[in-house]
Amino acid sequence: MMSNSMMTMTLGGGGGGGGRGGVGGGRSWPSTTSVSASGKRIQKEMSELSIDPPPDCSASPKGDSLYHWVATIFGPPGTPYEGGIFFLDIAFPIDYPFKPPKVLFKTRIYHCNVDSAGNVSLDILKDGWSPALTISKVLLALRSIFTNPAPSPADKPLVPGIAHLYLADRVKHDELAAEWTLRFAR
Amino acid sequence: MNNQGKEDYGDIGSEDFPDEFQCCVCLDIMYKPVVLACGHISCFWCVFKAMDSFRESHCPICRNPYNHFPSICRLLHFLLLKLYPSAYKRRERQVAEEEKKYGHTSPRFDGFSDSLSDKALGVQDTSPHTAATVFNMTQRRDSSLIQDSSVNEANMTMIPTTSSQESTTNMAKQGDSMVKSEVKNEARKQILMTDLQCTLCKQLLYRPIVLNCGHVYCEACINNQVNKVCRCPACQSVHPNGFPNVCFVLEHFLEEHFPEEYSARKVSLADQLHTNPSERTARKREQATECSSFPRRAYLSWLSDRGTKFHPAVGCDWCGMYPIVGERYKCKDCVEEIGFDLCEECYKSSSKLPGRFNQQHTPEHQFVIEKPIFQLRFEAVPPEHHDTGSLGITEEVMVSNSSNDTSQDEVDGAASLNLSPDSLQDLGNSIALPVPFNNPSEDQEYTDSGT
Repeated sequence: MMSNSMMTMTLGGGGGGGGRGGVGGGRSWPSTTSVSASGKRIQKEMSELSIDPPPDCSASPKGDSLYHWVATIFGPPGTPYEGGIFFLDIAFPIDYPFKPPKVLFKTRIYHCNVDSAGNVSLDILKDGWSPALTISKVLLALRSIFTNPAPSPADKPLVPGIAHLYLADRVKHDELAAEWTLRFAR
Repeated sequence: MNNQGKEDYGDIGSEDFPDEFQCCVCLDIMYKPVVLACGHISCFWCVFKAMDSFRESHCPICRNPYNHFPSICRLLHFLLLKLYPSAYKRRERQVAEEEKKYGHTSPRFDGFSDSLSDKALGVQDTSPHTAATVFNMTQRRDSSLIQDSSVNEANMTMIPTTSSQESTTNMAKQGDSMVKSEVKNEARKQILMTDLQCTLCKQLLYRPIVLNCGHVYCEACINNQVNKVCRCPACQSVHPNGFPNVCFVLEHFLEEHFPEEYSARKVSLADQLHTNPSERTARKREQATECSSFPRRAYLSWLSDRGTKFHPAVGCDWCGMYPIVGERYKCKDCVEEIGFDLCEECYKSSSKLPGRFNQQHTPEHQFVIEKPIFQLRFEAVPPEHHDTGSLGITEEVMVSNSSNDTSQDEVDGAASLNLSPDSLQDLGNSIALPVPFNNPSEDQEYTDSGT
């Protein structure tokens, strides 16, 4: 019986609902998602980024909207991504920082944790998100996957093929990554 | 939409406050600070909004799990108001605007930005009327100030939001004049000493801990209590899940501002106990965890125990349990949209505490047992039944959140969760909805082209 049984949890409304990792849900206690609250926080981050940017990174709003940013990460020296400039799109949800920002690579990159659509698998951008994290910390974390990709199956790499090559033939992997950097990120 | 949000940005950072009093969530000065059991502090709304409506929440800083929404720490609230009045009042205005917009209000304290309550109390309170008053206040060090702060602490009666709205705007004008009056450090220090006393030992707080009810004590004073349950001596409410950690932000503040007094406390306490206080606490904490008022695994057990009722997004207004596990008692006389709910334990207790928000609840109000919103069934039921069955229930939730259209699509998409019993194991750890993050087929294609 258990194999057929389903437990259904249906929840309504909620928008802006609470919690980490994309849990949305209705609240009896209030949901007070606010444009101005998230706007202020983003504004704060912007000024802090301009004062103290993380190494080899930059980020700023794309246009008029505070909620859409463009970030750049310079390929860290000593990695096959060295010399490359990688552009990223950052979209802040309306209930930021209670939900993580959405980060998308606009520059193609040969990396086991970034797929061809530019999606990046990073724990802190999903379940591991905490409202105490900032774009600055996210950029640092992204920069660290340049130096230390997470190819093991336990990390669920987005591109298993690249992950496999990384583990099996690091030299070949680095060659390809450097080639892609030259081709797409200059 | 953005223009609306940008209006207020100009005054950010108009007054400097140290990083230690910056809320990690809004990156502004902590407003109506709430201290979690791990000792980390955030604003009232920041903590609340970061809480998980389905399961236990985690501290944004250290990810320490907790399942009770603590009350505002009034000691820190008044401390910050005194230390950084203009930043704090700027925040008050901002939050008041937001609260007005959304119709939900956080608790208000007597003697705070309400001129009416000044008269009622008959003492000078912390909100200044003119710059000159402030100056006088900080120069004096008489007993009326001590009395004043204790009155503020004791009287936590709620003020109807509507009436306080006007005074908030008055406050806006007064707040600006505050900046001009430079408070002398010496005078400021005198006032703060009296504000930072433990109500049990009547001395400067040493290794301060903040309980779930928001009251602050020395770690040793609470540990000296005979019973194993951590109960607040002032309001008698039980602190859930053992003993809280020392609030390090407050401890650092004490050490920095009262170095001599603080080290004196350290020495005298060591003499008294002849033991290492932190060791003692560790032992106490272990004991307390065993006989905790609230079972740690409750959120796991509701999954395995069919009988357990579970009320996502509903919190107990007395103990702060969020979400409520077990029977939910809903006040049928409270008209506020937030509602007023109690968990079974609090309903059966005789406490007369105010709500976690600004409800006008009185002891005369009647309660009804509310059915769980959450439909949790382990039987094999046709899926259609689930949909229709739960739609009626969800409506209630929808109404209270209808102000928020923007993320409706997202929520609709993620509203239904179908879980097989196999995944129950994982559920205890995370009820996170699967977020469609990548398309596996795309990966395959990508790999081929890449290698």
